[in-house]
Amino acid sequence: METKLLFPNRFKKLGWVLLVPGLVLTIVIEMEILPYHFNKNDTFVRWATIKNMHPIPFIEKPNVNGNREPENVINELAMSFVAIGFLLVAFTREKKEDEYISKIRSDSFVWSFYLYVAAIFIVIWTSYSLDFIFVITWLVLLPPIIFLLRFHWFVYIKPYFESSKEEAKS
Amino acid sequence: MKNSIRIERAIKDITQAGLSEAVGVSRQTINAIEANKYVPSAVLVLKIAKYFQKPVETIFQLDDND
Repeated sequence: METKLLFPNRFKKLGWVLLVPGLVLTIVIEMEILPYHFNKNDTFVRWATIKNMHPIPFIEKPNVNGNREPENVINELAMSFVAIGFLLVAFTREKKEDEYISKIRSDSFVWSFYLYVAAIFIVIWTSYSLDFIFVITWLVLLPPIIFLLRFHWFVYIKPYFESSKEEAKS
Repeated sequence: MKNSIRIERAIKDITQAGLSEAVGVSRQTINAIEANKYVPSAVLVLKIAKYFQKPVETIFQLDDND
């Protein structure tokens, strides 16, 4: 299967550069591991909060008093990094893209979808109301992560272990 | 489908990396074919046979499950 719908190899590095910090930031912010640090007037947050761009409505959100206040866009940025980073990492040609790697790629997509559906099913029966919505939000990240783990396991990690085993034999 | 690539490689004294280079695929692909984890496409089968200068059937045979 020679698909032409892949980015050239050089985009892969850029993809990792966006994906890894994006994922870490997303997890840290959304899990509120560092709530005060990231929600108060931290320099980093102030930089990311576009205070003077009032004409752009989606950066503002209504507060409790009904007034509009600037929205901290750092989580939006982080999740955009994750989305674009995943796109670039998953849909970039490997250095030696061949039929076997294409097969691993498409198999990994099928696997990630199966596990995604299984996870949704579990969540439906184990969580309710707000918890349900909370967990479902996290499930957005599940298919990309499963895909990346499985793909890189079969393309790089497993062959690496096997070849070092073979070298030990000979 | 089973194959005797490992034996053919030993006869020609070429590594997995060398063979993969010669037929234009990744080393993982040759490794997976030798381990019977991946059935190569007809094009790749013909390329490998051409490289060893042997008929396809002497390197690749149908398995009982095929």
